[in-house]
Order: sequence, then C-alpha cells, then structure tokens
Amino acid sequence: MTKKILVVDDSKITRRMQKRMIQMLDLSTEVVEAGDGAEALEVLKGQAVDLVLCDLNMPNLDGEGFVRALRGGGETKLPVVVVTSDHSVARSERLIQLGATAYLTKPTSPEKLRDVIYPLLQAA
Amino acid sequence: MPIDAYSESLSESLSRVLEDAAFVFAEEPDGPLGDWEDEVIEVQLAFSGDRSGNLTMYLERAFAERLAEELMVEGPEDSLGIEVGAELLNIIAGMWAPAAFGPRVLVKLDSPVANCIPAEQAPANGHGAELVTDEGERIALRVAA
Repeated sequence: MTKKILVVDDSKITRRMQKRMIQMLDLSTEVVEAGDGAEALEVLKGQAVDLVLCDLNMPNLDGEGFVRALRGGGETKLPVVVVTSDHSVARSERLIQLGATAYLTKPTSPEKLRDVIYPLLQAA
Repeated sequence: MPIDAYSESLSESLSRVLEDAAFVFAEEPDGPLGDWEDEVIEVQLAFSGDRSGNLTMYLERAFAERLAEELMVEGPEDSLGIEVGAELLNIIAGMWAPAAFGPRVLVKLDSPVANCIPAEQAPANGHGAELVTDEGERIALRVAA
C-alpha cells in the first residue's frame, strides 16, 4: 500500500532534493509538500499522511512551532522527523522533548534517510 | 573575536558540506587568488541566540549551477544557482555554529538571503575560509560574530 510523506521546508531546493531521495529509495511512497509549518498544518487538515519530514528554520510557523501545535492538538501518533541543518545537541534534545520522533541533520543522504523513515513507515 | 579565530571551523564545515552533500572536493589555495572573474553569488545569513552574528559566502555562479546538478536538482531555471547557494550556506551554518561555539549553544539561523553580483563587487581577500575545487572553482566564507 502506498504511504504518503509530507515534506515541509521553505526551500524549494530542499523539497526537491528530499522528494528525489525518497523516490530513489523506492519505498512505494507519495510525496506532498508544504512551505512552512502553518501550511503543513493546513495540509494535514485535508488529508491523511503517514510521516512528516520537517525543517526547523522556516517563516510563519517554524519546525518547533509545528511540532508543538501538532502534539498540542492531540496528534500524538504521526511520526515527525525533523530534518535540519542545525547540528546542536541542545536543539535536538529540545525537539525530541517537544514530541519530534527523530532528528536528522543536513546534509543527509538517501541511505541515512532510509534508515530513519523505513521503520517508521513500516509501523505506520 | 577576530575572523582568524573561526578560520579552521569555517574551512572544515565548508569542505565537509561540499563533500557530503555534493561529492565535491575542495582544498585551500596555495596562495592569494586575486579578483573574482565571473559572476558571483553572494549569500548572507544572520544568526542570533546565545551567540549572534552574520555569515557571508561567495561562490562563482557557474559553480553553484554545477552544485545544483550534483545535488540532483533539476533545471534549468535562472534562480537555480542562487537558491542552491542559499541552501548551501544554511547547511554550512548549521554545521559550523556548534563546531565554533560548542554543541550545547543554541543559535537560531535566519533565512539566507542570496543575490548574484558582478565579480568586481565581491571581495578578493579577507575571507575566513577560502577553498578551490579540483576543477578550479572558487568558494569563500567569512563571519562577523
């Protein structure tokens, strides 16, 4: 069964790269996109997705705000993988504490991405 | 803090991101490179939080367009090199900040702002780090923190 992944990033380049990587992994997935956290919340109101890949630094609603709003709104099961350039340990601990499922730093590779999202998609 | 204090971490972050993200290998040049010759993409990124400052990156436009290919980003589009430059500095900054300030320091990165500028407007020297690829492409980074 096809799984749906929501890629949230304000950079069109990053969204394209992640979409391309996901396609390369051949995981039977469909990718939908959002340009920031607020847009992602709107997407989630209209359709069910199996996993979210979310950037941290974005305009309007950033990744931290998105995770807080999602979990605060009662959505506790949807896996949210934060994919960010921020390598700080303090930041990753904070995001996991807020309810992010995993924290992946850029630059990422198809292999690194697969190792994180494959088990989450299997369990979804 | 003087620019030189961050040279090593800037250089390491820059070369590692080029290598890991785009499989591009670059080294420090043997001597001063002088003026830029082609159109240059200038990217600026401000950071704030426990530490604040500004990172600026310069790279040849043709190099940015090659990076887009290496990064599997399809084109052609006029803004492709500029967007790739912006995302590249975003990734470098995220890797550099904890390396320079410590892993527990919280720094918020603003969105990078990128422009294409004529070669004569790009500073020839005074960079915190400068690398040249095996194909002779040039990229430079400086910080004010």
